Amino acid sequence: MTKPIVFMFSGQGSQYYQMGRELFENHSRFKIWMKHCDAIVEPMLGRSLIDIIYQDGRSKMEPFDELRYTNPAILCFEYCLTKILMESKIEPDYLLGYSFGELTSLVVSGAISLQDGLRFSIDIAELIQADSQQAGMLAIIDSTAIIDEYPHVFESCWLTAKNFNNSFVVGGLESDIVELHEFLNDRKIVNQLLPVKYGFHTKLMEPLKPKIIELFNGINCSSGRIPMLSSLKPNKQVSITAEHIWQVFRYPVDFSGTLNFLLQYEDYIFIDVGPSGTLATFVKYICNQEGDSQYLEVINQFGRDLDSLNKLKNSLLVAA
Amino acid sequence: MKTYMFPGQGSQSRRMGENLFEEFQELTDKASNILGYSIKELCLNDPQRQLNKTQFTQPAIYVVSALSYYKKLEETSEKPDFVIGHSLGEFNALLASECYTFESGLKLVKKRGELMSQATDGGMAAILNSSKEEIEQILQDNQLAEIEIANYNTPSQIVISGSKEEIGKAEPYFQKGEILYYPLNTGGAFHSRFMQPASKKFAVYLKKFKFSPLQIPVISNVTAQPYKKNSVVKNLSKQIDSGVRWSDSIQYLMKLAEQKESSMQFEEVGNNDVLTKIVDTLKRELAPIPVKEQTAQPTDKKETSQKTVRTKNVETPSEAKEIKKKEKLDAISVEEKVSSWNAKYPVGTKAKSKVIEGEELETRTEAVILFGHRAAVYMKDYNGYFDLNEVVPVIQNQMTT
Repeated sequence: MTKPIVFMFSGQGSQYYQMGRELFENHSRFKIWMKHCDAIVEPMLGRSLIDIIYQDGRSKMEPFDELRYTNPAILCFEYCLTKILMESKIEPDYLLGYSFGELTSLVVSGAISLQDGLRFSIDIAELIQADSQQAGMLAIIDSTAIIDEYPHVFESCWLTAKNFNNSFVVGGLESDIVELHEFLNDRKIVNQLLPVKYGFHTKLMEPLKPKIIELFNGINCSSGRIPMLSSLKPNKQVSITAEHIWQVFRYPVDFSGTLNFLLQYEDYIFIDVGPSGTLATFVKYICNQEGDSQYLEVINQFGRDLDSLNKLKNSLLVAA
Repeated sequence: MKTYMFPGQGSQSRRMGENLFEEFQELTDKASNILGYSIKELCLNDPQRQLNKTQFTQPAIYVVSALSYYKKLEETSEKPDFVIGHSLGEFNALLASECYTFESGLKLVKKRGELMSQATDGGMAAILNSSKEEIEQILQDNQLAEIEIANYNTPSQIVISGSKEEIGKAEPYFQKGEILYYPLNTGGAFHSRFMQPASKKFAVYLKKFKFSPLQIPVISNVTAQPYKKNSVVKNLSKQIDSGVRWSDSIQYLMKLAEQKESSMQFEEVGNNDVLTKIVDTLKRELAPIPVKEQTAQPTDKKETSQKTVRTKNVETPSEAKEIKKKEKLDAISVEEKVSSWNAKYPVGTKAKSKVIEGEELETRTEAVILFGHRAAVYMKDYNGYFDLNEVVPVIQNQMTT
């Protein structure tokens, strides 16, 4: 029996300049889809996303954190990567979105159109950039128990995501996050500032609620052709409403809870269709060698995209 | 000259018609009475998520486009020279042309939506960067006999329609080269033979209505020509099960304006700007690329050809940077086709089409390159282009032997 295939879409934080460059240069179908997306985005953005991602000569080490660009960039990138997988007969049974990645799920499932999805990704970025305070996000490799251990540094921050047992993310105002970052560094607790400048998944989003709901309500949305899962909280399937979309931006991500919930029912082949392969890593730690699920990435930050893609295809051949 | 265009399904979105309903309270109430639900509530809030269901979508778009038109008349107090609508939008075009009242039109649209919503097990898909000929060839080569072309939006943006199964099956055959294939979110195989039952029932319903003579010429989706006398029943019923000839229609209007030494302005009336975008794309695709006359030696010719290719590519910025060798070669061979045609066959050359049988054609332009890759020529009495590959010149003096 073949296991159901879950396509996972990562969100803010997984993007970087030059993501998928090797594919863009060598995989003609990937390039064609990217150009198609770019032709839609360019009039909305006033700039070509392809230029922003590949042509501006940026190093992949520089933070790619301009929300107005990163939102559509993540959506386009994940959409095109999905397209080339599907064109090679790798078809998802479920779509699992992590935070902003839920928007990719919506587009891939056909619940909303690519145009509307891209428009929304830019509109919401502009809304957030105009109306919310500068904030920061910090990924921490340790147990959430340290929150109680050092209450004085964590009290001004919020838990924004539980990834796996020893990995979580906090968000807060920029100064508080920088302070926490330095504090953890001093104690040799591994942590990483994410290229995200806004307080997603915290109450800093609260003032935007009516506008986010209004934005989403303006979009034609149907039920979609491929079932969608949300990593907002453990669930089987979500019905997409403006309220749900709002909650995705407002409340913490419970990725480990969602995964553990799904794994009760069956084993899966999880494929990380984002730019970094981080979700595949999370799944690896969550499964912790139990069960028969597989976790695969399409590409990662280390270049060599074509090799990675072939490796994925080979793994799936073996799995089938 | 001015044409008003009315959109069809796909242009709907929640909150459409905001502000119009209060302004046209009486018509809004009439519409709600005919429909049996509040049209305002459906368009603005859509509490039951019905706006994307055909039987609701169609009346909603009709009402919003009609109110938008009345609003426009108030503001500008001038009428357009032509009206046209995409699929459902044709009902708004006919309303603008005073073929029937707002209420009668709504009753027709309500019925049409109901009949079309009964069609299930069908599907549709948009295909980009291809052509009618190529799509037909691919369908034929892969025995996909249950698929037809439903909308010719532009020469390279075409929508196909057919059984759900074949629409799914077709996808891999269109994943090559530059072609993009998108399945669309519809339940029925609109504008295909699968809609014949709906079309027949609608024809019966249409006969209950009286239609007044048209006050503004309406371009029909079925014929891509102005409505003829007493053709309303025929056109509106046929429209359901045949392809929307949008590209030909727009080209017809452009040509018409050109003949009167004017240019056609297209203005979209209704929610959204779907049709405006299609017309923009169409104009871009049709812009002929001038081909230099072939006077120089063959070696020079190649150079000029390459230059022309490059200038063309500059127009689409994302493509400007790299032209692969292969693309170059393809482009050159098209260029060569065009220049060798022009060297041998002047305007007015008699020719025959391998596709359309029968009468002799006569060229009315030099050969040109369309969309950057197609060698084409225009013929007298025909609006659309003819692919050079399908055209055989008839050379008189050779025929006497």
